[in-house]
Amino acid sequence: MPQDNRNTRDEFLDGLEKHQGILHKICFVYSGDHLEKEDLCQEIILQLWKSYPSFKHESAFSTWMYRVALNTALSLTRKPGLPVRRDVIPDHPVYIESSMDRNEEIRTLYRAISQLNKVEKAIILLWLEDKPYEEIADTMGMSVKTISVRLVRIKAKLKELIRKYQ
Amino acid sequence: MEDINLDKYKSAWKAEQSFDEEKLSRERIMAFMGSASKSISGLFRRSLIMDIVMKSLLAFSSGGLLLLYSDQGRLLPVIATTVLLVIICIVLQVRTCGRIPGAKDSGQNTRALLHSYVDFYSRSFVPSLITASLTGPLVLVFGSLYYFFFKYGTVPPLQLADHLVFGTFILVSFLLSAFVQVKNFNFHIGQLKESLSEIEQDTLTDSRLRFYRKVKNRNMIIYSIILITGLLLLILFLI
Repeated sequence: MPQDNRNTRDEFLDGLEKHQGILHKICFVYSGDHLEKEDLCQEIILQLWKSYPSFKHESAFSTWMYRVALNTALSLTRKPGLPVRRDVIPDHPVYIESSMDRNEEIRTLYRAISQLNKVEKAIILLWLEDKPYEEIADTMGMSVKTISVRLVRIKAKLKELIRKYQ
Repeated sequence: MEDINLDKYKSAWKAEQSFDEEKLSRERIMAFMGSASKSISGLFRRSLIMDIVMKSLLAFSSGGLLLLYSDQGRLLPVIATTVLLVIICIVLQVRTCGRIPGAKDSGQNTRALLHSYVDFYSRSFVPSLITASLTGPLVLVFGSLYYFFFKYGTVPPLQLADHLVFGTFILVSFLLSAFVQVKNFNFHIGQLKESLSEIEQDTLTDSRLRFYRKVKNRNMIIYSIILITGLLLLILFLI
Protein backbone atom coordinates (compact mmCIF):
# COMPACT_ATOMS: atom_id res chain seq x y z
CA MET A 1 0.00 0.00 0.00
CA PRO A 2 1.44 3.45 -0.92
CA GLN A 3 2.60 5.61 2.01
CA ASP A 4 -0.03 8.34 1.35
CA ASN A 5 -2.88 5.81 1.45
CA ARG A 6 -1.48 4.26 4.63
CA ASN A 7 -1.30 7.70 6.27
CA THR A 8 -4.91 8.48 5.26
CA ARG A 9 -6.06 5.13 6.61
CA ASP A 10 -4.21 5.58 9.91
CA GLU A 11 -5.54 9.14 10.26
CA PHE A 12 -9.07 7.84 9.68
CA LEU A 13 -8.63 4.96 12.13
CA ASP A 14 -7.26 7.28 14.81
CA GLY A 15 -10.26 9.63 14.43
CA LEU A 16 -12.71 6.76 14.48
CA GLU A 17 -11.15 5.13 17.52
CA LYS A 18 -11.19 8.44 19.40
CA HIS A 19 -14.91 8.97 18.67
CA GLN A 20 -16.18 5.37 18.76
CA GLY A 21 -18.76 6.42 21.35
CA ILE A 22 -20.74 8.24 18.61
CA LEU A 23 -20.88 5.05 16.58
CA HIS A 24 -22.14 2.97 19.51
CA LYS A 25 -24.74 5.56 20.53
CA ILE A 26 -26.22 5.70 17.01
CA CYS A 27 -26.17 1.92 16.66
CA PHE A 28 -27.80 1.60 20.10
CA VAL A 29 -30.67 3.92 19.14
CA TYR A 30 -31.27 2.52 15.63
CA SER A 31 -30.90 -1.24 16.30
CA GLY A 32 -33.20 -3.74 17.91
CA ASP A 33 -30.75 -6.56 18.55
CA HIS A 34 -27.09 -7.50 18.31
CA LEU A 35 -27.40 -8.69 14.72
CA GLU A 36 -28.95 -5.40 13.56
CA LYS A 37 -26.40 -3.50 15.59
CA GLU A 38 -23.52 -5.39 13.96
CA ASP A 39 -24.96 -4.74 10.48
CA LEU A 40 -25.47 -1.04 11.15
CA CYS A 41 -22.04 -0.67 12.74
CA GLN A 42 -20.44 -2.30 9.69
CA GLU A 43 -22.39 -0.11 7.26
CA ILE A 44 -21.58 3.11 9.14
CA ILE A 45 -17.85 2.32 9.25
CA LEU A 46 -17.89 1.43 5.55
CA GLN A 47 -19.70 4.66 4.59
CA LEU A 48 -17.40 6.74 6.83
CA TRP A 49 -14.36 5.22 5.18
CA LYS A 50 -15.72 5.63 1.64
CA SER A 51 -16.70 9.26 2.23
CA TYR A 52 -13.53 10.13 4.14
CA PRO A 53 -11.82 11.55 1.00
CA SER A 54 -14.62 14.17 0.82
CA PHE A 55 -14.05 15.23 4.47
CA LYS A 56 -12.50 18.69 4.11
CA HIS A 57 -11.56 19.21 7.78
CA GLU A 58 -13.74 22.36 7.78
CA SER A 59 -15.69 20.94 10.72
CA ALA A 60 -14.57 18.72 13.59
CA PHE A 61 -14.13 15.00 12.81
CA SER A 62 -16.87 14.22 15.36
CA THR A 63 -19.38 16.59 13.64
CA TRP A 64 -18.70 15.06 10.24
CA MET A 65 -18.86 11.57 11.74
CA TYR A 66 -22.23 12.30 13.37
CA ARG A 67 -23.65 13.49 10.05
CA VAL A 68 -22.46 10.56 7.96
CA ALA A 69 -23.40 7.99 10.63
CA LEU A 70 -26.89 9.44 11.10
CA ASN A 71 -27.43 9.61 7.33
CA THR A 72 -26.38 5.97 7.04
CA ALA A 73 -28.71 4.89 9.86
CA LEU A 74 -31.59 6.86 8.32
CA SER A 75 -31.08 5.54 4.81
CA LEU A 76 -30.41 1.90 5.67
CA THR A 77 -33.61 0.16 4.60
CA ARG A 78 -35.17 -3.06 5.85
CA LYS A 79 -35.23 -6.09 3.60
CA PRO A 80 -38.61 -7.26 2.28
CA GLY A 81 -40.08 -9.98 4.45
CA LEU A 82 -38.79 -8.62 7.75
CA PRO A 83 -41.41 -7.37 10.24
CA VAL A 84 -42.67 -3.99 9.07
CA ARG A 85 -42.27 -1.98 12.28
CA ARG A 86 -40.35 -3.96 14.87
CA ASP A 87 -39.72 -0.75 16.75
CA VAL A 88 -43.33 -0.53 17.88
CA ILE A 89 -42.94 -3.55 20.15
CA PRO A 90 -40.50 -2.34 22.78
CA ASP A 91 -41.44 -5.15 25.20
CA HIS A 92 -39.99 -7.67 22.77
CA PRO A 93 -36.94 -9.45 24.28
CA VAL A 94 -34.57 -8.20 21.54
CA TYR A 95 -35.18 -4.60 22.58
CA ILE A 96 -34.59 -5.32 26.20
CA GLU A 97 -31.44 -7.27 25.25
CA SER A 98 -29.77 -4.23 23.69
CA SER A 99 -30.17 -2.11 26.80
CA MET A 100 -29.66 -4.74 29.53
CA ASP A 101 -26.19 -3.61 30.50
CA ARG A 102 -27.19 0.07 30.90
CA ASN A 103 -28.68 1.79 33.92
CA GLU A 104 -32.43 2.02 34.55
CA GLU A 105 -32.87 5.54 33.12
CA ILE A 106 -31.04 4.62 29.93
CA ARG A 107 -33.16 1.47 29.58
CA THR A 108 -36.39 3.43 29.96
CA LEU A 109 -35.12 6.08 27.53
CA TYR A 110 -34.15 3.35 25.04
CA ARG A 111 -37.61 1.76 25.17
CA ALA A 112 -39.24 5.16 24.67
CA ILE A 113 -36.93 6.18 21.81
CA SER A 114 -37.49 2.83 20.07
CA GLN A 115 -41.12 3.95 19.55
CA LEU A 116 -40.10 7.07 17.62
CA ASN A 117 -39.67 7.11 13.85
CA LYS A 118 -36.21 7.37 12.24
CA VAL A 119 -36.26 11.15 11.81
CA GLU A 120 -37.53 11.76 15.35
CA LYS A 121 -34.78 9.47 16.65
CA ALA A 122 -32.13 11.53 14.81
CA ILE A 123 -33.44 14.84 16.18
CA ILE A 124 -33.74 13.61 19.77
CA LEU A 125 -30.31 11.97 19.59
CA LEU A 126 -28.72 15.27 18.57
CA TRP A 127 -30.64 17.03 21.35
CA LEU A 128 -29.45 14.45 23.90
CA GLU A 129 -25.90 15.18 22.73
CA ASP A 130 -26.48 18.85 23.56
CA LYS A 131 -25.97 19.98 19.97
CA PRO A 132 -27.12 23.57 19.34
CA TYR A 133 -30.35 24.01 17.36
CA GLU A 134 -28.37 25.51 14.47
CA GLU A 135 -26.26 22.35 14.20
CA ILE A 136 -29.29 20.05 14.43
CA ALA A 137 -31.00 22.10 11.71
CA ASP A 138 -27.89 22.03 9.54
CA THR A 139 -27.46 18.26 9.95
CA MET A 140 -31.10 17.49 9.19
CA GLY A 141 -31.54 20.11 6.43
CA MET A 142 -34.40 21.82 8.29
CA SER A 143 -34.83 25.40 9.50
CA VAL A 144 -34.02 26.29 13.11
CA LYS A 145 -37.68 27.24 13.62
CA THR A 146 -38.88 23.88 12.35
CA ILE A 147 -36.40 22.08 14.61
CA SER A 148 -37.59 23.94 17.69
CA VAL A 149 -41.24 23.17 16.87
CA ARG A 150 -40.46 19.52 16.15
CA LEU A 151 -38.43 19.18 19.35
CA VAL A 152 -41.37 20.41 21.43
CA ARG A 153 -43.57 17.72 19.83
CA ILE A 154 -40.97 14.96 20.13
CA LYS A 155 -40.22 15.78 23.75
CA ALA A 156 -43.95 15.66 24.59
CA LYS A 157 -44.20 12.28 22.87
CA LEU A 158 -41.10 11.04 24.67
CA LYS A 159 -42.47 12.11 28.05
CA GLU A 160 -45.66 10.15 27.40
CA LEU A 161 -43.66 7.08 26.43
CA ILE A 162 -41.34 7.35 29.42
CA ARG A 163 -44.37 7.63 31.72
CA LYS A 164 -45.70 4.45 30.13
CA TYR A 165 -42.47 2.47 30.55
CA GLN A 166 -41.35 3.79 33.94
CA MET B 1 -49.84 12.87 37.21
CA GLU B 2 -46.06 12.90 37.74
CA ASP B 3 -44.23 15.35 35.50
CA ILE B 4 -41.37 13.75 33.60
CA ASN B 5 -38.14 15.71 33.75
CA LEU B 6 -36.40 15.00 30.45
CA ASP B 7 -33.26 16.82 31.57
CA LYS B 8 -32.73 14.04 34.12
CA TYR B 9 -32.67 11.52 31.25
CA LYS B 10 -30.45 13.78 29.18
CA SER B 11 -27.94 13.96 32.04
CA ALA B 12 -28.04 10.18 32.42
CA TRP B 13 -27.44 9.83 28.66
CA LYS B 14 -24.46 12.17 28.74
CA ALA B 15 -23.02 10.51 31.84
CA GLU B 16 -23.39 6.99 30.42
CA GLN B 17 -19.85 5.62 30.14
CA SER B 18 -20.62 2.30 28.46
CA PHE B 19 -20.78 3.83 24.95
CA ASP B 20 -17.23 5.13 25.22
CA GLU B 21 -15.99 1.95 26.88
CA GLU B 22 -17.40 -0.26 24.11
CA LYS B 23 -14.45 -0.68 21.76
CA LEU B 24 -14.11 -2.32 18.38
CA SER B 25 -10.61 -3.56 17.66
CA ARG B 26 -8.63 -1.96 14.82
CA GLU B 27 -8.66 -5.31 12.96
CA ARG B 28 -12.46 -5.49 13.17
CA ILE B 29 -12.83 -1.89 11.96
CA MET B 30 -10.53 -2.63 9.02
CA ALA B 31 -12.56 -5.72 8.16
CA PHE B 32 -15.72 -3.55 8.16
CA MET B 33 -13.96 -0.98 5.94
CA GLY B 34 -13.45 -3.63 3.28
CA SER B 35 -16.91 -5.23 3.49
CA ALA B 36 -19.75 -5.08 0.94
CA SER B 37 -22.38 -2.40 1.47
CA LYS B 38 -25.91 -3.41 2.45
CA SER B 39 -27.26 0.06 1.71
CA ILE B 40 -29.76 0.90 -1.02
CA SER B 41 -26.85 2.27 -3.13
CA GLY B 42 -25.10 -1.09 -2.76
CA LEU B 43 -28.28 -2.90 -3.86
CA PHE B 44 -28.69 -0.56 -6.86
CA ARG B 45 -25.05 -1.00 -7.86
CA ARG B 46 -25.03 -4.81 -7.51
CA SER B 47 -28.26 -5.13 -9.49
CA LEU B 48 -26.87 -2.94 -12.30
CA ILE B 49 -23.48 -4.70 -12.40
CA MET B 50 -25.21 -8.09 -12.60
CA ASP B 51 -27.27 -6.86 -15.55
CA ILE B 52 -24.24 -5.33 -17.29
CA VAL B 53 -22.40 -8.68 -16.95
CA MET B 54 -25.40 -10.61 -18.32
CA LYS B 55 -25.84 -8.24 -21.26
CA SER B 56 -22.09 -8.30 -21.99
CA LEU B 57 -22.27 -12.12 -22.20
CA LEU B 58 -25.21 -11.72 -24.58
CA ALA B 59 -23.22 -9.25 -26.69
CA PHE B 60 -20.33 -11.75 -26.91
CA SER B 61 -22.64 -14.61 -27.82
CA SER B 62 -24.21 -12.46 -30.54
CA GLY B 63 -20.88 -12.67 -32.41
CA GLY B 64 -21.54 -16.39 -32.83
CA LEU B 65 -25.06 -15.71 -34.12
CA LEU B 66 -23.85 -13.18 -36.68
CA LEU B 67 -21.32 -15.75 -37.88
CA LEU B 68 -23.81 -18.64 -38.03
CA TYR B 69 -26.47 -16.64 -39.89
CA SER B 70 -24.00 -14.67 -42.04
CA ASP B 71 -25.32 -16.19 -45.27
CA GLN B 72 -28.99 -15.62 -44.41
CA GLY B 73 -29.73 -12.07 -45.53
CA ARG B 74 -33.35 -12.25 -44.25
CA LEU B 75 -32.31 -12.71 -40.60
CA LEU B 76 -29.08 -10.74 -40.46
CA PRO B 77 -30.71 -7.27 -40.05
CA VAL B 78 -32.91 -8.61 -37.21
CA ILE B 79 -29.91 -10.08 -35.36
CA ALA B 80 -27.86 -6.93 -35.95
CA THR B 81 -30.72 -4.76 -34.58
CA THR B 82 -30.99 -6.98 -31.50
CA VAL B 83 -27.22 -6.76 -30.93
CA LEU B 84 -27.44 -2.97 -31.25
CA LEU B 85 -30.25 -2.97 -28.67
CA VAL B 86 -28.06 -5.01 -26.26
CA ILE B 87 -25.17 -2.55 -26.69
CA ILE B 88 -27.45 0.47 -26.14
CA CYS B 89 -28.79 -1.19 -22.98
CA ILE B 90 -25.22 -1.77 -21.68
CA VAL B 91 -24.30 1.89 -22.28
CA LEU B 92 -27.48 3.05 -20.50
CA GLN B 93 -26.79 0.78 -17.53
CA VAL B 94 -23.17 1.94 -17.21
CA ARG B 95 -24.33 5.59 -17.26
CA THR B 96 -26.98 4.89 -14.61
CA CYS B 97 -24.37 3.11 -12.47
CA GLY B 98 -22.26 6.28 -12.49
CA ARG B 99 -25.22 8.35 -11.23
CA ILE B 100 -26.00 6.26 -8.13
CA PRO B 101 -25.88 8.43 -4.99
CA GLY B 102 -22.98 7.09 -2.97
CA ALA B 103 -20.44 7.78 -0.27
CA LYS B 104 -19.59 11.18 -1.80
CA ASP B 105 -23.13 12.29 -0.88
CA SER B 106 -23.09 10.97 2.72
CA GLY B 107 -21.73 14.24 4.09
CA GLN B 108 -24.75 16.25 2.85
CA ASN B 109 -27.58 17.09 5.22
CA THR B 110 -30.15 14.34 5.70
CA ARG B 111 -32.85 16.05 3.66
CA ALA B 112 -30.53 16.58 0.64
CA LEU B 113 -29.32 12.98 0.84
CA LEU B 114 -32.85 11.53 0.93
CA HIS B 115 -33.81 13.83 -1.97
CA SER B 116 -30.88 12.57 -4.01
CA TYR B 117 -32.01 8.95 -3.47
CA VAL B 118 -35.67 9.63 -4.29
CA ASP B 119 -34.78 11.81 -7.31
CA PHE B 120 -32.35 9.20 -8.62
CA TYR B 121 -34.94 6.47 -8.26
CA SER B 122 -37.69 8.56 -9.93
CA ARG B 123 -35.50 9.82 -12.79
CA SER B 124 -33.00 7.09 -13.66
CA PHE B 125 -33.46 3.86 -11.81
CA VAL B 126 -36.96 2.71 -12.73
CA PRO B 127 -36.25 3.07 -16.50
CA SER B 128 -33.01 1.20 -15.81
CA LEU B 129 -34.91 -1.63 -14.09
CA ILE B 130 -37.13 -1.89 -17.15
CA THR B 131 -33.99 -2.04 -19.32
CA ALA B 132 -32.73 -4.83 -17.05
CA SER B 133 -35.98 -6.71 -17.56
CA LEU B 134 -35.17 -6.99 -21.27
CA THR B 135 -32.31 -9.39 -20.41
CA GLY B 136 -34.65 -12.38 -19.90
CA PRO B 137 -36.48 -11.97 -23.25
CA LEU B 138 -33.13 -11.37 -25.02
CA VAL B 139 -31.67 -14.59 -23.57
CA LEU B 140 -34.79 -16.37 -24.83
CA VAL B 141 -34.43 -14.89 -28.34
CA PHE B 142 -30.68 -15.62 -28.58
CA GLY B 143 -31.13 -19.12 -27.14
CA SER B 144 -33.91 -19.85 -29.64
CA LEU B 145 -31.79 -18.59 -32.54
CA TYR B 146 -28.95 -20.94 -31.53
CA TYR B 147 -31.41 -23.81 -31.10
CA PHE B 148 -33.04 -23.19 -34.50
CA PHE B 149 -29.68 -23.05 -36.26
CA PHE B 150 -28.33 -26.29 -34.78
CA LYS B 151 -31.68 -28.09 -35.21
CA TYR B 152 -32.80 -26.78 -38.64
CA GLY B 153 -29.89 -24.73 -39.97
CA THR B 154 -32.20 -21.68 -40.12
CA VAL B 155 -35.31 -20.22 -38.45
CA PRO B 156 -38.13 -22.46 -39.70
CA PRO B 157 -41.48 -20.99 -40.82
CA LEU B 158 -43.56 -20.57 -37.66
CA GLN B 159 -47.29 -21.31 -37.26
CA LEU B 160 -49.73 -19.00 -35.43
CA ALA B 161 -49.57 -21.22 -32.32
CA ASP B 162 -45.74 -20.97 -32.33
CA HIS B 163 -46.00 -17.19 -32.55
CA LEU B 164 -48.40 -17.13 -29.62
CA VAL B 165 -46.27 -19.43 -27.41
CA PHE B 166 -43.06 -17.62 -28.26
CA GLY B 167 -44.62 -14.17 -27.77
CA THR B 168 -46.22 -15.20 -24.49
CA PHE B 169 -42.89 -16.51 -23.11
CA ILE B 170 -41.16 -13.26 -24.03
CA LEU B 171 -43.89 -11.09 -22.52
CA VAL B 172 -44.17 -13.17 -19.34
CA SER B 173 -40.40 -13.19 -18.85
CA PHE B 174 -40.27 -9.38 -19.32
CA LEU B 175 -43.25 -8.60 -17.09
CA LEU B 176 -42.23 -11.01 -14.32
CA SER B 177 -38.72 -9.63 -14.13
CA ALA B 178 -39.94 -5.99 -14.25
CA PHE B 179 -42.62 -6.64 -11.62
CA VAL B 180 -40.25 -8.36 -9.16
CA GLN B 181 -37.53 -5.72 -9.48
CA VAL B 182 -39.79 -2.67 -9.35
CA LYS B 183 -41.70 -4.11 -6.38
CA ASN B 184 -38.49 -4.93 -4.52
CA PHE B 185 -36.92 -1.51 -5.02
CA ASN B 186 -40.23 0.28 -4.40
CA PHE B 187 -40.23 -1.39 -0.99
CA HIS B 188 -36.79 0.02 -0.17
CA ILE B 189 -37.36 3.46 -1.66
CA GLY B 190 -40.75 3.65 0.08
CA GLN B 191 -38.93 3.66 3.41
CA LEU B 192 -36.72 6.55 2.29
CA LYS B 193 -39.77 8.47 1.01
CA GLU B 194 -41.36 7.92 4.41
CA SER B 195 -38.39 9.57 6.13
CA LEU B 196 -38.27 12.36 3.54
CA SER B 197 -41.95 13.18 3.97
CA GLU B 198 -41.41 13.13 7.75
CA ILE B 199 -38.66 15.76 7.32
CA GLU B 200 -40.70 17.79 4.84
CA GLN B 201 -44.06 17.54 6.56
CA ASP B 202 -44.21 21.26 7.17
CA THR B 203 -42.73 22.30 3.85
CA LEU B 204 -43.84 19.77 1.22
CA THR B 205 -45.02 22.10 -1.50
CA ASP B 206 -47.40 21.71 -4.43
CA SER B 207 -44.54 22.25 -6.84
CA ARG B 208 -42.64 19.29 -5.34
CA LEU B 209 -45.74 17.09 -5.66
CA ARG B 210 -46.18 18.27 -9.26
CA PHE B 211 -42.51 17.47 -9.91
CA TYR B 212 -42.87 13.86 -8.73
CA ARG B 213 -46.06 13.47 -10.80
CA LYS B 214 -44.25 14.83 -13.86
CA VAL B 215 -41.31 12.46 -13.37
CA LYS B 216 -43.67 9.52 -12.90
CA ASN B 217 -45.59 10.39 -16.10
CA ARG B 218 -42.36 10.84 -18.07
CA ASN B 219 -41.17 7.44 -16.88
CA MET B 220 -44.44 5.86 -17.93
CA ILE B 221 -43.84 7.20 -21.46
CA ILE B 222 -40.29 5.75 -21.42
CA TYR B 223 -41.60 2.31 -20.33
CA SER B 224 -44.21 2.41 -23.10
CA ILE B 225 -41.61 3.27 -25.75
CA ILE B 226 -39.37 0.42 -24.56
CA LEU B 227 -42.27 -2.03 -24.53
CA ILE B 228 -43.48 -1.00 -28.00
CA THR B 229 -39.91 -1.19 -29.38
CA GLY B 230 -39.56 -4.66 -27.88
CA LEU B 231 -42.84 -5.79 -29.41
CA LEU B 232 -41.94 -4.34 -32.82
CA LEU B 233 -38.61 -6.17 -32.73
CA LEU B 234 -40.42 -9.36 -31.80
CA ILE B 235 -42.85 -9.00 -34.71
CA LEU B 236 -39.95 -8.17 -37.06
CA PHE B 237 -38.14 -11.28 -35.86
CA LEU B 238 -41.14 -13.55 -36.30
CA ILE B 239 -42.21 -12.42 -39.80
